Amino acid sequence: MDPIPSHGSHPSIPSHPNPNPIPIHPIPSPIPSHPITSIHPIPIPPHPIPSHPIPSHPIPPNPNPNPQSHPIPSHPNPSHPIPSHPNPSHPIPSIPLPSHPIPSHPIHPIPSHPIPDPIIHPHIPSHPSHPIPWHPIPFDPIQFHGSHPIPSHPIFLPILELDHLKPQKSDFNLGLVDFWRHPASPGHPVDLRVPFPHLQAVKGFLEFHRFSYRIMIEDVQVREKESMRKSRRAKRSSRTFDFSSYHTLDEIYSWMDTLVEDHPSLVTKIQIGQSYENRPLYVLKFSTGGSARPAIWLDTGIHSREWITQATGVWTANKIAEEYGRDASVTAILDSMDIFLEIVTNPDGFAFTHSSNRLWRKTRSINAGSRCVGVDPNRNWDAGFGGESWAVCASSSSNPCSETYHGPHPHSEREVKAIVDFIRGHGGVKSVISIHSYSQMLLFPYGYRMTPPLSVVSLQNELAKKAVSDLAAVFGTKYTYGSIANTIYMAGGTTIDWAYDNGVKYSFSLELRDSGRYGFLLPSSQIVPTATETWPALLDIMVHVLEHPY
Amino acid sequence: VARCRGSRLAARFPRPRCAPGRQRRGAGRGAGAGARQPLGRRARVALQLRNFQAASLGGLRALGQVRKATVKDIPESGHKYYLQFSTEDYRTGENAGSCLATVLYPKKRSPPVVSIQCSHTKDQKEIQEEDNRLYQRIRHQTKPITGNNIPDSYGNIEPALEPVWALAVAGSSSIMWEKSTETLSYFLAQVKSVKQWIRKDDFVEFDYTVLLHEMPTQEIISCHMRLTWLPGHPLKVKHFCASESHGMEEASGAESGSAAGPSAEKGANF
Repeated sequence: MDPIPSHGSHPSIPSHPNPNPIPIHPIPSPIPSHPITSIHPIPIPPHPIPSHPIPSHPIPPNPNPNPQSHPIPSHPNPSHPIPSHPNPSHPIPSIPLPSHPIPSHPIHPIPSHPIPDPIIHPHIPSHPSHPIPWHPIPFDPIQFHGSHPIPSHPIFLPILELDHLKPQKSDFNLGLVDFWRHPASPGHPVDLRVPFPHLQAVKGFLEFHRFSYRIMIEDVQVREKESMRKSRRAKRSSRTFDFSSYHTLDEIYSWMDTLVEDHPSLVTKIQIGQSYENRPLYVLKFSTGGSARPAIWLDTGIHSREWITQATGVWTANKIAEEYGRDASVTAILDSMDIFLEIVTNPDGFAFTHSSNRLWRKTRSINAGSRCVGVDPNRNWDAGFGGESWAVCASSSSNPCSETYHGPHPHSEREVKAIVDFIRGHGGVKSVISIHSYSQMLLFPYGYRMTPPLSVVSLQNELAKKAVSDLAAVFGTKYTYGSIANTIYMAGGTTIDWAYDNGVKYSFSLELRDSGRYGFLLPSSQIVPTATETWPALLDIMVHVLEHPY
Repeated sequence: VARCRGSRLAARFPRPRCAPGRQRRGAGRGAGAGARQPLGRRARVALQLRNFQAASLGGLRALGQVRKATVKDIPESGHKYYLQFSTEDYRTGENAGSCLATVLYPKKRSPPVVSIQCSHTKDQKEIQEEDNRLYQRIRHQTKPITGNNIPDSYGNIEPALEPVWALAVAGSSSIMWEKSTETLSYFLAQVKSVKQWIRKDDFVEFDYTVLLHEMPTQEIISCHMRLTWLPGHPLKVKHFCASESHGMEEASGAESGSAAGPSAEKGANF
C-alpha cells in the first residue's frame, strides 16, 4: 500500500474527523487458496494505509498544477463548515448553543494591535470560566487601538489558551467558543463565534492578553434568520446560496435557474423527462460548445433520504461553474467534453422526505395490487435485474413493500427510463458517476456478479485507489473501494452495472459520509466538508476519462 | 432455483447460501449478500455488545478502522471472526483505543457470540464523571423529558436532549447486537420519540421508539424500547420491534445484559 504523503501540519488546528490511525502491520496480501475450513486471513478492502501516523490535520498536497484548484481548509473539523467563499454575509450553519437560544457575537481579534489599558483588569484570571467583574460594553462594532507595547511573546501563550476555549470536536457543542477561523500562526487573525453567556469572559480574556478585536456580526441568529428569509426571496446570485444548509426541492430548482443565469455561456438546464408525480427531471449541462462531444454523467439524490448527496450535487455544480477558466483540470475537461449533472434524480421521493417521511428511499410510484408505494430506483436498471438465474443471488426484492423492490420490470420507473433514454440517445457518455450515502465507499461494477471482469479489476481499481487517496488527503476521511459485490453487498439492477454493460467503461458509485454515526441524518455542518473532500475524487475520475478517450 | 456459482474469491470466504424463493424482508436476506458483508459490520456488532454492556454514556464508542481480520469455519457451530480494530469516542470522534474481538455467528438463528477487549485512552474516572454529569442533567429536569426526531431531519440534536440520545445509542446497541446475523447488521437511524417515566428510586427510565437501519436490506425497523439506567449499573432494556414495511412481522427481545432469551423473530436467515 502506498503511504499517504506526509503533509505539513498546523500545530493548533483542532482534531479532525478521524482519529490518528495507529501504525499498523502490513496486511497480508496474497491470499492462500485454502479450503474453507482452514484459517485464512481476510483481505481488508484496500484503502490507503499510512506507514506512519498521519499528522492530525493533513493539508491537501494540491496535486493540481493550478494552485487555486483545491481549497485549503482552515478547519477540517466536520462540525465546522468551510465557507466556500470568504463572504462575511455568508449565512452561518447553526451549531447547538448551550441551553437556550441566545444571540452570539463573532469576534475578530487581531493580535498585532494592542488594546487600551482602561479596559484591562490586571487581576483577571486567564481562564475565562471564572466570573469577571466587568464594565458594560456597548455591542456596536468596535475596534480597539492603543499605544501599549506588545509583550515579547504574546502569541504563543494566547494561542494555546485560545485552544482551550475550543469546543470538543463534535456537534454537541458545550465548549466556550466556536472557531470559524482557527489560531494558525502568529500574526494571523482568528474568527470566533461566542455564545452570549461567555461574551464578557471572552472579551476579558482577549483584552487581558492585549488582543485587539472587532465585532463583525452582533447576532448570528438574527443574521441567520435574515439570510434564510433572503434565500427564500426570488432572485439571488447562485454564489450566495447557502451551500451549508439542506434545501427543499423548490429551492434547489430555483437555484439551478440562477446558476444558469450567472453562467450563461457554460451552463444550461435541460429536462429529460418527468417523474411519476409529474415533476420535471432537470439536468444541468456544462458545455463550452462543440458538437457531439464525449460526456460525463453525474447523478445525486437517486435515493431521496440521502440528503448529503443532493446537497453535494448543488455544491459541485457551483464548483464546476466557478472553476471553469480558473482551474486547469476543469478547463481542460470542459474544453473537450460536456458534463451532465442531475442533482435531484428522484424528486418525488425528495419531496416526500420533506413532507412526510425523512427516511423514504424509493420512488413514489403506485404498485398495482399492493398498498405499498415505490420502487428502488437503484434496482430498476436492466443489468442483473431481479437476480437472474445464472447470477449468484442478488439483493433486490420482488416484494413491493421492500426498500429494495426492483419494480415490475426493468426501467419501469420514469426516473430511471429518462436517464436510460438520455444516455442511449446521447451516444457519447464515457463515464457515469452515481452518488449515494452513507458508508464512505467508492464502488465500481459489478453488483450483480461476484467476480468483476478482469479488465475492470485493474483499470477501475487503480483509479479508485487514487481517488480515495486524494479524498482522504483533504480531511482524513477514510473510504474503502472495490466492486459493489465485494465491498458492500450483492445487488442486481444497479445504475452503474447497467452503464458499464452498455459501454460506459468508467462507471463508479460513491457512498458519501458518514460511516454510520449519523447515517442519513448527517448534520448540515458536514455538507461543505463532504462536498469539498469529494471534489478531488470526482476530478480524478473526470481527468482520467479525459486522458483516456475511447 | 438459482444456482450458486462459486468463484475463486468465493472459495476464500464463507460460501454464500442462496434461497431466492424464500423472500421475506427482501431477497438479500438469505442470499449471498449475507456472507459478503464488509468487515466493519463484524467489528461493529462486537462494539454494539460492548457499548450495551459497558452501560456508560461517556464511554460509548464508534467504530474506527478494521486493522486485521481472519475468519474460521467452526464445524457444527458457525463462522467465527477474529478482529482487531480502532475505535473513536462516539460523541467527539477522538481516538478511544483499539479492540480485539471474536464474533461467532451460529448457524442457528440467535445473537452472535461476542468476546471483546479494548484498550482505552480515556481515564475510567473521567468516564464515570461524565456519566454522572449526564445522569445529573437528566435527573435535574423539572418535568419528564420528552422529545421527537433526534437527530432531526437536518442532523441536529438539541443540547438538552444529548444525554437522552446517548442513552438511546447505548440501549439500542443491545437490540442491534441481538438482531445481528452474518447476513444482517444494524445502525441507529433516528430516535423517533422519547418519553421519560419518573421513578421514586435513583434510576432513570425512558420509553423510546427507535428506528434502526438494516443492511443490506435497507429496511427501516421501528422498535419500541423501555430502558432504565443508573451510572455504575447494567442497562436494563426491553424491546419490541416491528418492521414498518411489512407490518405483520414482529420480534421481541429479552432484558438486561444477558444473552438469554431467544428472539421470537420469524423468517429463516439462510
